[in-house]
Amino acid sequence: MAGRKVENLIVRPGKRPGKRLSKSKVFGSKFMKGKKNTNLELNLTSMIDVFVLLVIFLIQQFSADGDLLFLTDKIKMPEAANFQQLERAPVIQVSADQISLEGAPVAEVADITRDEYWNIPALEEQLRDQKKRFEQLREMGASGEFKGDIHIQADKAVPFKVLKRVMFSASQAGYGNINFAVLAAGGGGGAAPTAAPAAAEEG
Amino acid sequence: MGGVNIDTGGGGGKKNVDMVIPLVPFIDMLAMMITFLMMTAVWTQIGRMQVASQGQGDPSTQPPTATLQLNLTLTERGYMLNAGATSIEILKKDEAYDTAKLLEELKKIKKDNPDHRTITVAAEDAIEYQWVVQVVDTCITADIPDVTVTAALG
Repeated sequence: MAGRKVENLIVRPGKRPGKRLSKSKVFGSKFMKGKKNTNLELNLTSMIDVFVLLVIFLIQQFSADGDLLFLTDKIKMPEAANFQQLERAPVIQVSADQISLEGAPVAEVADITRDEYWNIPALEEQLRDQKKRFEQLREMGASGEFKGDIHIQADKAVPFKVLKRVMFSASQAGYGNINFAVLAAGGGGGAAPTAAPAAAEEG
Repeated sequence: MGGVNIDTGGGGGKKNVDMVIPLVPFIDMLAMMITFLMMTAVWTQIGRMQVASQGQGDPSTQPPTATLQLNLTLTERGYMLNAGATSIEILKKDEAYDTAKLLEELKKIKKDNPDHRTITVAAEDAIEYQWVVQVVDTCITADIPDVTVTAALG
């Protein structure tokens, strides 16, 4: 008994952990004598908590509207605080150098600015074809009514001259409900839907 | 491994009522959900602003014609707001459109004509599209929601 007390008093040279460190799960084992504990505990509860939070956050972010319009590097859309939810409608994309309908190039902006016409014949023709196809599908029994909705997804630096021609062509082809596609300003939500505006005055 | 053992303290010949909740399939499902949601996530919110309508419907159900003719024109100099016989020019401030002043003027008009809902916006050829959108946005903010962007101005 006395010998054991003396042994406790003898300070052996070498690394000695502090009281707190010797009890640590991570570092304590370094100073353990005898067999090393090889059991590894995974903190599953906290991991599941993180997973659940991530899933909730991502479900909140989930939106099917993004499929209706595709963002491209060539088109930097303007921002707005007041907007309505997107609906399925043909999309005219206007970049700094090209005009496309549903992703297919229709005309070059350089050619349009050179012309003195009010409309863009190629765009108008394709829109008329699209309207005709829609009507044919309706005759074959497809549901839905032609509302004349169209979205214009234009680059914010495009001159209004080009936009006017696009709008005029759409209007001539029977697509009178013209909508500008915009990005939410500051990530804010859309405003309450507004009533239909006054009749178009194109031309 | 991968389970939670809920020890109910049974012992001494009693029936074992220990229950193990299998966490592995649960974690698998969460991981799959996270992957799917990350792949389909839409980080930018896109909306639409209706700027022209073809005026469908029964004429009898159409709203009464507004007494006030409200027009707004974007020029290289600034905004030109025509409210009936009154014309207000809001010049650019430091090479930028004075949207705050425009909003103020539109709110004044709205205050004097609470039922008025329509405005026609026109722009010069060289004006960039973003300024037109900004004007439409300002009009809606000023509680004039029926904005028509016209291509009439040459």
